[in-house]
Amino acid sequence: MDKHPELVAPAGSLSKLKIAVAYGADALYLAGDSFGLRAAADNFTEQELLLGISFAHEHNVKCYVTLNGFLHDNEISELPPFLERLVAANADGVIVSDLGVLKTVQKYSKLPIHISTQASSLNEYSAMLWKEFGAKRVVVGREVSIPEAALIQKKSGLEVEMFIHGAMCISYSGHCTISNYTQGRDSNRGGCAQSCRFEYTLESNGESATDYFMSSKDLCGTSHVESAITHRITALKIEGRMKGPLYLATSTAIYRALLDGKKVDTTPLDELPHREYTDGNLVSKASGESIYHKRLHEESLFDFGGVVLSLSNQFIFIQVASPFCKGDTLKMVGFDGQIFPVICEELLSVVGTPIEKSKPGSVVKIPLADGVKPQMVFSVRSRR
Amino acid sequence: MRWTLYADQIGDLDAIPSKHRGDLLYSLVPFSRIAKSSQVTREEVIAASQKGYTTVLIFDRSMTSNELSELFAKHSHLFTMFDRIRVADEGALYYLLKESSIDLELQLENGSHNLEAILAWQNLSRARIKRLILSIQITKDRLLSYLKVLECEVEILVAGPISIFYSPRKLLSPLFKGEKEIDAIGKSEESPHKGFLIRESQAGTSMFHIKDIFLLEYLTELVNGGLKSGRIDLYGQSNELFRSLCREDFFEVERLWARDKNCGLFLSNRTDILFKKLKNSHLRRDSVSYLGEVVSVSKEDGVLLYLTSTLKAGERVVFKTPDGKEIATSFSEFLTLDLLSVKVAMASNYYLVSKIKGVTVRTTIFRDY
Repeated sequence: MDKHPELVAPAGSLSKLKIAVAYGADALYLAGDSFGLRAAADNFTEQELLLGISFAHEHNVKCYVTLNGFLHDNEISELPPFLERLVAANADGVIVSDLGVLKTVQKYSKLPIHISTQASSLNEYSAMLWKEFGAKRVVVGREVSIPEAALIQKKSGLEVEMFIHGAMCISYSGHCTISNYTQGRDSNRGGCAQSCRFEYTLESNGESATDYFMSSKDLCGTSHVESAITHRITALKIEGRMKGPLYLATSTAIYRALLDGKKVDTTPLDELPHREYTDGNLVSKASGESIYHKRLHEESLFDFGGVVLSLSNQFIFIQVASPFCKGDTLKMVGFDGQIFPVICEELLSVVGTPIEKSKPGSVVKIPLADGVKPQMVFSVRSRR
Repeated sequence: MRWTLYADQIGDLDAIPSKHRGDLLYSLVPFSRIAKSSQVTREEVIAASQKGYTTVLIFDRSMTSNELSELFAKHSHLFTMFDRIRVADEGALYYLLKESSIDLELQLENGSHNLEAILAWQNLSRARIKRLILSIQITKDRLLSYLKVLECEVEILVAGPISIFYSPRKLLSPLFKGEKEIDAIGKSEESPHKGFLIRESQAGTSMFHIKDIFLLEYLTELVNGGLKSGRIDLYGQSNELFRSLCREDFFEVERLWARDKNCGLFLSNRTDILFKKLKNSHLRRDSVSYLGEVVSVSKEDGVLLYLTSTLKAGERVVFKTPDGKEIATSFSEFLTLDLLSVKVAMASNYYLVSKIKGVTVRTTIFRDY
């Protein structure tokens, strides 16, 4: 029997894909170089798609490829060769929001089709229509509560996926074109400039106010995973193909543990940079409380320190993201989501030269430590 | 051309020349994103019908299951008052197709920027869907090419505010208390644009671009190309302008238009070009010859590579640096992280090679055919 709900994690690049797999995702969503909504993400080349999907399948993890841009004619005509490559790579499905894309996928492949949250499918009738068009799953809009999602699933007979964690559009997804008209970048083809995060000065009837009035807090559904299980929601999704490995590992591991019914300390999520958490619409309508009236400050007590590349008999090889020194404590994120400390008792270059401080981007090695495994990520105390 | 107009913006229905009387749109609170009123009488709608207008209820709110059920339970009796319903949400469309026999107009202004999609929507119900309202992000040339193929009537917004944002959340009332509906003008220091029209209604918050779309000078070309109707949104316009419109004095309409105006993306839409430049083109990896990238460069270790394809000693490779330099070379051996020398470097692994002048972190590696 399939696991319920499936945990769907973001894979913004091949290296992140491996991290998400290691931390317990059941499925991943990722994109090629075009057709998705995150043009600035690393995304996957054709070769990386093959490698990534094959790697995920070896670990029984599914891969859904995003084709959820609102594509124009020229892009639609470029889709068929890409679809052939997805078929060849054994992708488990595609995520679409445009009916033209859906029709093109059906014409050139038998790939299962998921309707993207970008289509803002909010009710059972919408799901029924997408089912008639041949969709297998609908990723409902973030305005939908868990009970409503369950109703959509029951009435439409479609699989239903919903976001459980991460940043949220304040707009109905797909209904915002601020970037198109102010920055010349199509927000529905990967060019969103995040204008909703700006501070605005507003005037109304002679009164004036300055505020981040249209910036949403981030969704955190840790308290509602049990409800999603009870309502037998097909899949829960974590937002963030552009986010870093520490976010990916921490959120994936914690939701994995919650879905597995384990007691888990969720405070590592609080230590990640975020815009204060809200449970959005998971239970009831998001109100004024769900607005984040500030700018997101990336400053945090801890920074993403690096990722464990591999282990040898004696050493842990680490790709460094933020500098750390001999003697520092690396806060390793275990695959169960819990943090354990690793003291960096020795710090060496790959060829074995002792070093005092690691450089971002470099690869270093430290002595083996209990519990550390390849793909694990860690944080270090911020030096900013 | 028949004009599509908003009933609540027109004081005198008789003033519109009969040849231009097309759709008359009714915005009512339960159904509309920006309506301020729930009031319209059956008599008013019948009177408009008798004057030659097609009466259309706007149903452009997005709604969850609970909201939709409540709406249908309380307000579906209103459907029969109108000739047609203009629907935006796919769920509302599906419900109305299945549960009513009323004629429908499908609002596709939010997307459907390709013919494949538009045809599929048109063909969903040729009998019931009487009109498609297309996006003004579709350029004039493409629209004209679509009009040759589409069988259904097509309408676009030819003059009026451009909707650029729609949220279910009430974003203004926390700042400006005491009003049921609030209009505001916004600007941001982080954007050179000033004068966003923002409207909060009972349905949520909508935002409009600082400049209205204004395409009246292209009407003749569009009509000749097959456009059946142009929508004119007179929000905030004067009675004098309305009288000029009724006289078909478009020069005067242009002169009197109250807000800044332009052609939006209607003449040229290159919104897919700029963001592709967000990425360094020298770091592109979308080639079959792509082999991997340089992970780190140090005096002690040399150059550490991560490979996505197998590479043998002696094979020619080209390094492409982030600043565009190309360096061709080959290797006699590779060192694993355990410092073992190998002649074949395998995919998905890290290897050390000796220092290469000019190569930096994030340099990409390609097979040199």
